[in-house]
Amino acid sequence: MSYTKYLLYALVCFAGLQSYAQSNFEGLGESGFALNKRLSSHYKFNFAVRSRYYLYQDDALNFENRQLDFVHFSTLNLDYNHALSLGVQYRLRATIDGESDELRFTQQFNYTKKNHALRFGHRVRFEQRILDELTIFRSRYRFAVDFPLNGEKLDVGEGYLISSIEGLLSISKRIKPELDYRTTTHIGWLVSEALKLQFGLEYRFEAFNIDTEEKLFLLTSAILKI
Amino acid sequence: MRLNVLLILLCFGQFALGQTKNEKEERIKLSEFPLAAQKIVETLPKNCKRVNFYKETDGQKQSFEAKFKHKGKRYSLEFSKEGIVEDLEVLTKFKAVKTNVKTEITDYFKSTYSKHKVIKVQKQYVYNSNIEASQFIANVLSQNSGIAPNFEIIAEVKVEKQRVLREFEFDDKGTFISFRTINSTSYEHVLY
Repeated sequence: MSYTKYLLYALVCFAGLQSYAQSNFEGLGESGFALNKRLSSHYKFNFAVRSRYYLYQDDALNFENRQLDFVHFSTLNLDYNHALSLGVQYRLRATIDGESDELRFTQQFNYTKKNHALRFGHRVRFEQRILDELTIFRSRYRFAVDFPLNGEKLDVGEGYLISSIEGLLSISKRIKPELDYRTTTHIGWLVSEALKLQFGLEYRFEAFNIDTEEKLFLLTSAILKI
Repeated sequence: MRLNVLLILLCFGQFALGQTKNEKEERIKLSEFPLAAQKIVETLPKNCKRVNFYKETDGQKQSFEAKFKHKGKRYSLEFSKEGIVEDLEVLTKFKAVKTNVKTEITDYFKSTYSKHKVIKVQKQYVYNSNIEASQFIANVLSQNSGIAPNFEIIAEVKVEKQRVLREFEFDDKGTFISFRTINSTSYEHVLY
């Protein structure tokens, strides 16, 4: 049984969604570079820089930088498949597109379960997003499945696929509670023991309980283990 | 600019590739199995489902594996490079292991490591060339082999304050035979 056909199904689904594009639709790109370091079997940390930019806006193709994120995560592995993480992120927007900068704190619990080639991941996150004029408290849950495209184990030179769905609830004193939904598919390549390259598509339904905004993201990232 | 960074990373990646150990598992077609192994696979009962074929390379050592499902259980039939059956493994749960064997194995873990967590358990039926390979497989599948299986257990254990993944081998009575340390999957930094 080939997993490649699932990738094709996912791409066809995304292509289908895009064809429904309307004026509340935006296309964006996000490119990131992450450094990971494991200090012991219990502790690892991660630093990442991500750039987000508009590709399609107001019914027209248009490249425009939006923001730059600087992210740090510290992860405590509780055992083989449970982990707790704390994160801090600074989002630079004021000098790029004039919107508020953001300081974000994240608390995360992650649980994975492996079933042969498939690995299932459950992630719960709580975030405090501190903006100039308001603070948003966001809770999110993500379910992810990943698997190698060849065999049951990911070897150097091989590809892998990750698919996930995520629900988000944002609460703040100043705005109505907002619900978001995201579907993501990534195809990745383990270039070497140290380096992974990932390309993905993410479709977001933002504030779908108020006035839905739809966004398609093209994602590219390089992940380096040092 | 972004392209330049990517190219530099790719070059770095290729350099790192040269440093890695040649350990690889890849899915292949039955036609790429050694002839002797192909003949044995063809004798598998018709009700074997999801039959997949793999080649494993570990340094100079090469082996082949056919994985399949039979009556709800997952089996793994291992062959040498020449296509000779080495063993047949079946996935099981630790709680399904006979109580006295389970106690023996648990005692080993408790007395050797400060912490342990069993992750995967397989019963291993080692092939003895006194009988035909196809007969050996049929006997194991019908649970009529009369062979007492060894146990292959992957567990996370704590060694000098560090957690490591190890593959342990125990005999049919639960007596420890050997272990080897295995690399945790390269997935560890993806997404999480």
